[in-house]
Amino acid sequence: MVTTVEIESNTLADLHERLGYVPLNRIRMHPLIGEATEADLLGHLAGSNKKLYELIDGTLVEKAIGTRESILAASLIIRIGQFVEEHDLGMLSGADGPFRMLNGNVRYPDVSFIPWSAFSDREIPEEAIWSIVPALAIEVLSESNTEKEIDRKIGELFDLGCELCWVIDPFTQTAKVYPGDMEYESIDMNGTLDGSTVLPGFRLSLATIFTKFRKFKKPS
Amino acid sequence: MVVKAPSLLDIKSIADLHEQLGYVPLDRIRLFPSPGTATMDDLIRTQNDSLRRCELVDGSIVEKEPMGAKEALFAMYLGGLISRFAEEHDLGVVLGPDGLTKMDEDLVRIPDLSFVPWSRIPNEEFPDDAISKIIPTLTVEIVSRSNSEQEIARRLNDFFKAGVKLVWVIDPRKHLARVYTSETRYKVIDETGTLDGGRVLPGFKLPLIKIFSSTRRRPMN
Repeated sequence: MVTTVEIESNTLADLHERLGYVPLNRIRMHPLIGEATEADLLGHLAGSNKKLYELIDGTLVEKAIGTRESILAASLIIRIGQFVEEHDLGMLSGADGPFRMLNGNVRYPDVSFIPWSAFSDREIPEEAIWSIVPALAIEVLSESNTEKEIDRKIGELFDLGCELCWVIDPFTQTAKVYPGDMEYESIDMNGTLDGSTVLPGFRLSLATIFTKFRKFKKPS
Repeated sequence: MVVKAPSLLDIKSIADLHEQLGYVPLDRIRLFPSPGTATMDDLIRTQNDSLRRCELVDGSIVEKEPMGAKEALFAMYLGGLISRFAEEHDLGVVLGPDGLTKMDEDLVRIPDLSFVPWSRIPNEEFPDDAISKIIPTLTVEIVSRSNSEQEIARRLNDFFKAGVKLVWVIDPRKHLARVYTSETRYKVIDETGTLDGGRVLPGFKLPLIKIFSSTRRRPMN
């Protein structure tokens, strides 16, 4: 039982923990903490200075993006896209497609694959934020992403109905494959990303993705 | 270090708020009401429910670090001496470590000790307010472990901007004191030095060591 006193003694430290200890400069003060809405998120997305903010617990949190991550994501989209097109499996979304989670949070996975079965009648929804379930979600880690924040994001995606998550780490040139949110398999340059039951027959070696790029050293 | 005047519009992220507040540990900054929106009424309500002393800083409710027993002893010892001196010389009154004082709009501080001269007290009677609106001329801070230099700098900025004339910042672990006559002008005193009331408490002189040795029993002569 949570008493009023307990709620009122909630501090910024609790918020910081809930948000996965992301760097404080990614957490927006306006709108006020706990009072941000989807409209606020869309306002920034459509704004002249386009910004991707995820809506987490009523707070706008800047999505960590960067050129390197974008290049890796594009590389993945090309290869997955080819496979999806060939087999007419569904659609791919990049990092600026907002998805509504079951708990009301709004997330931007770096890459999402949405099978046709998730759409009603193969029709792309009109709304700006989709309640559609991506079967595969991919996160390419940025420097300011924390493990806890990604864990939480993956948890929400799986709660929504996502079946497979890949987390690509450009700094260690490894990836984690999540068939469910409680477990993952680590793979390195010698490993392969397997489409499993979501993209049956799809296989992509990590080396293919990373070979083109110099090793991204994580600045200390 | 001069802290620029805080404006809610300047605060874009929690990082900005954190800097503005002087990098106070996050677990001392309350989430409710939403940081930036809290009022004096909210502060009074919070203070009624809270075991911790709470201040209002730029519309955020910030807990003051609880004083340990030894610090409480030092505060009482020093507060008692200043109080007696102030009474004997008809200079003013002393508030203890729970005196809320409004320093500015949306800014309420609780100095560990404050001396308020009669000259600032209307009708020669200290008013019955939950939050005093009378600015002290001397404040004393007994530094806690979680007080960063930036937080102290922010407090000094608040005090001097409001009209405090003298601030004593006492370090109970290093047995030092810094005597500030302005935000940037200070003198460091060690155990061989003396706290001097200057023009605020003319004639008040206390060897610093007496504060720190107040924990030990002395034989009565």
